[in-house]
Amino acid sequence: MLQLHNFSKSYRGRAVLRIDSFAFSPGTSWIQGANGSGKSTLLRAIAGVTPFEGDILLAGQLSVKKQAVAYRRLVNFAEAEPLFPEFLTGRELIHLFRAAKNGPPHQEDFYLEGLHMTSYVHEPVGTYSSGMLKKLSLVLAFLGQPTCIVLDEPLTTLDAAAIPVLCSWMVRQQAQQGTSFLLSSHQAFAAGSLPAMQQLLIEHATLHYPE
Amino acid sequence: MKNPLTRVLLKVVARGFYQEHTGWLISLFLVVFVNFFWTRVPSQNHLTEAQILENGFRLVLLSVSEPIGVAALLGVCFVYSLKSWNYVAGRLKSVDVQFLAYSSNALPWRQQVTSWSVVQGVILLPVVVLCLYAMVIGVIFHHWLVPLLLPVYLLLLTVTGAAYYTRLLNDTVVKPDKRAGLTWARNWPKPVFSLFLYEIIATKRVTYFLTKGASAASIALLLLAFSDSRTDVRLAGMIALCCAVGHFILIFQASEFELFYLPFARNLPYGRGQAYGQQVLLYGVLLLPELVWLLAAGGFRTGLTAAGLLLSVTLLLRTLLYWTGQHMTSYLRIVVGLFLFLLLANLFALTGLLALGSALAAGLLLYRYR
Repeated sequence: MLQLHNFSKSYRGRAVLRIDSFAFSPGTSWIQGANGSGKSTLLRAIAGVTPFEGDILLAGQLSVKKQAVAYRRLVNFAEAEPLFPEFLTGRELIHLFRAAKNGPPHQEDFYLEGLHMTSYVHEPVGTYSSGMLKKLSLVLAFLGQPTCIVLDEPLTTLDAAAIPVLCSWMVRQQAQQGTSFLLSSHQAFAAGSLPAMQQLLIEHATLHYPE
Repeated sequence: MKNPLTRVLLKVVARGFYQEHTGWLISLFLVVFVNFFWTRVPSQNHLTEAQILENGFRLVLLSVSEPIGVAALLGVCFVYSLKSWNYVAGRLKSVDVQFLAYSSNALPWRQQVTSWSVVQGVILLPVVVLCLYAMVIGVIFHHWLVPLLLPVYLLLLTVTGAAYYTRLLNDTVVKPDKRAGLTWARNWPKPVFSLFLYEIIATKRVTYFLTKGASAASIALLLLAFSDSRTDVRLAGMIALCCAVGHFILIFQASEFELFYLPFARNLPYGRGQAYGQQVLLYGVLLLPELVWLLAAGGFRTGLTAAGLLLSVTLLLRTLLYWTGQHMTSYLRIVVGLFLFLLLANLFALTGLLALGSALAAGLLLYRYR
């Protein structure tokens, strides 16, 4: 699904991640690692949000650098702690993302109802709580027809009722469109809530399968 | 300084103020302060020493003796304070200083105001120096009233600022946040390029008006200084360069806004051409008053060249931040260096070439970043 080639990321000359070659299998991959190990950095690079050395390919064809537009149309992202301009409403952000990601009209309705967001989605995001912002960022990540959805700490600040809803969306998306998921999370998912999940570990500044 | 709140506030607020406004302060120093301290008057060989002194101190004496001078001095102090109030109010909404809203306001009100007064005093240091100088020179030349009233005025500005900040931190649960407002624009279209323009309307109005004021002042001063060559493309180019560089704080803030609030935009499937187009649109709207003035006042060909230079240099200043990152000091050095280089090249009537070169350089920097 996604392949990393000669990937490296440095901050002020200090290498924080170095992955010579790695291929993510289709399905759901759960990236684990200690605080500061580089999970978010890797996910942000895969989402095309942060610069890095090397290349990332989707389905062996689309490079995040060379075919950036096509790549970004198929790889969606939700940040760990999302922030949006406070004067924008949730609805305006949804319209922006849906148009950019080429989603069908009213695609968001299913997700907004699922997380009970219809009552406040027309309000400016400056009035949202962190949990409401998180839900909005998750809805945005499902818009369009993504091949891969990257979710950084998707469970943080979510209320207990929202977690099974998110898991059901992931199962549905995977079954209907074959979408793969890349997650980082410190919290464990409830047993059986998601189909087989491949666990990955970031340690010693690189990504590998746990022993 | 031993007060822990004062120490923290100095670090997170006062230091940030000086870091963000270094450019403004240098401009203010070069344009206002230097002349205020000593006004250079050429060919004074025939004057006595007392007359030379009086000429040199003309501006500062005006500021403590004549109503218009006093109003100008008080006005500079007030506008400076207003800018600082606006900055601190914005800073207190930043994510990294939210701890102040659940720590500092547990102290007695008086202690909070005292700490904030120290911080506001440090922020006001440049105008305090200006006023102290005016007081000393005023007293030496036997003007008593204004020099005696100036400390009271400065104290008033300091305490007002301190009380305002204290109220902001203490009223967090009383007053609903108005920032999320812009209710009148709720149904307006908000394409990605326009988001920073809305941010200006919501939170950066003072910076915007000060920038536009500086732009207008630089146009007026250059026209006054070169009144006999108004149709010269080099003068139009010089005006364009001054206006572009005058916008560098807004450009810096636009970059900050993009980094902080719009990281998601980098995940949207926009090509490099589209990203460049968005920047052209943003700065085209931001610079609209100056662009219209250049096109209307300079004649079509000259105006078009100067307008092109203004837009392309502004784009270059923006894209330079992709390369330097959000580091005001190093950015400022590059801006000043670039400004001097462009100013010199413009004197050789290379205005059109500079416009083209800047647009290409901006495109190249954006291309490398994306």
